[in-house]
Amino acid sequence: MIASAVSTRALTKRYGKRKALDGFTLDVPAGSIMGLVGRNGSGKTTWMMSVAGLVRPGSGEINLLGRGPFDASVHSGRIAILPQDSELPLEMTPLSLLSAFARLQGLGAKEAKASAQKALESVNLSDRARASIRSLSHGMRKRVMTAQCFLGEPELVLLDEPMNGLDPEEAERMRNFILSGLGRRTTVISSHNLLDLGRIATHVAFVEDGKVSRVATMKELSDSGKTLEEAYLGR
Amino acid sequence: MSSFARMRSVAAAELGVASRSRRALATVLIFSAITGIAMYLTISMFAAIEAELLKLLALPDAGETGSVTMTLWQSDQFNRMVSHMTRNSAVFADIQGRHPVVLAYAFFLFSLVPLVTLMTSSASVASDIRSGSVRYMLVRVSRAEWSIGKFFGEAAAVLAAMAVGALAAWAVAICRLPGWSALGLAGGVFDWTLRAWIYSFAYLGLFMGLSHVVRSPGKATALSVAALVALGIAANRWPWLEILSPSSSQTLLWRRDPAAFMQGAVHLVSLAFLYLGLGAFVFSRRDV
Repeated sequence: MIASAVSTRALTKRYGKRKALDGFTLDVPAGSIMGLVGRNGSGKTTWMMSVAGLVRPGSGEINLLGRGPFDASVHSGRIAILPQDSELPLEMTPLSLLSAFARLQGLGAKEAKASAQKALESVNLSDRARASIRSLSHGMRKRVMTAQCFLGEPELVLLDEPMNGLDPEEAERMRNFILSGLGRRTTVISSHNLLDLGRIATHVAFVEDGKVSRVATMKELSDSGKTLEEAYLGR
Repeated sequence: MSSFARMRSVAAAELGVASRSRRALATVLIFSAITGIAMYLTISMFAAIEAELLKLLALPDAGETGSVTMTLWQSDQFNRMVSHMTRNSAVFADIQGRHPVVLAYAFFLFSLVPLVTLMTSSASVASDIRSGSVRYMLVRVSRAEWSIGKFFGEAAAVLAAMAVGALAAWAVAICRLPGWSALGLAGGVFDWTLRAWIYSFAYLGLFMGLSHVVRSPGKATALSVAALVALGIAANRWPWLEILSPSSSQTLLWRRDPAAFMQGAVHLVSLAFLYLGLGAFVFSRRDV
């Protein structure tokens, strides 16, 4: 097994005059659950989008699952992302959409449908599998977006604010689901909910002004007698 | 999974979205209504002209709308006159044996192609970029695969819309022309529908290519309309630019001669991929 599922070196990205990434260097250990914490605009989302090939960094290196930067022919089906503020096609049903995604990841028609049904079951949405996405509530749509991340057992999952919009029961289900993949898959979670993150992450990276200021394991934090929130706030 | 299989899956997903979209449904309904009404009005017009002609010449009723026109259409003098008027004897020779009602349908259909394509496809890429739904796809397929797959999905959606329109026109025709062979009419209507579909490729490539460079569906549609107008003006002013306009190959698609037809089809497909390719190139360098 490779040591780092994601390795980025000195990534930079500018939006006009603003530096969104300013030498972002981070290694995400394979099989870990890495939490990214930082203020709004600190570069967490831009980093995730760069890793997934959706944003083109100005400079720097990305090594994804030991096979270089994102390339659909190499990484399709091996990585998944839950982007922030991204809608699903409203006309489709969750089942047809997830089946289409699973087909794109290389599964046959029957396998794709079975995988889509399993994913919907895991986010407690089997009963709405054939409803149009337009008819689903915000929280339900979020669960469909999350379900698409776990189709076909990806090796790396990037989740941007996965708990936003979920009710407490579903948030708990989501936490358990993420934890169930610990050691098997690598998960990176960007979240402002430090309590949630503190309960599931194995590692945490503090992001400030487009770069990582510190990386620690949760064990190191607890050994120092600090909660994640206290460590973040510098208490 | 091969690149071809991924493009096919994108196309299937695109067709799935289009078939459930309200905009596509509205386009199909409007287009079917237009083709059906156009067919009805065409037959009524022929019936009125023929009745007038028979009355004027004090001839007995021919009993079937289109038969007088067909006779006239096939007469040598009329042929020479129309051939001179069209200034394209080859095109005229190719369409001469076809039923005038079907030709009138073909004329309407070809005129409607830019509009149908604009309504179904001009915003398809921009709306995916705007909503962010493209992000779910681009971690599964390359940008080029996505663009090409979307093109074929939209082409299939346009064909479906045209097929429903053709069905409406055919249904009106067999009701109004009971003496004509339903199968013969279907053959004529669907032959021209397929030709018009090939004609739509270049417009599809142009509109979808432009849709890759903006984020707003409204801007994409406005840009498509502006491009149509600009191409028309440019081709009029500088005739050598006509090669960039889809309409420059329209007459070739009316030909029965396979070589001429293929020449037109190849030109239109090349234009489609030129415009789509330019848009996809810009898109490949953009953040989404």
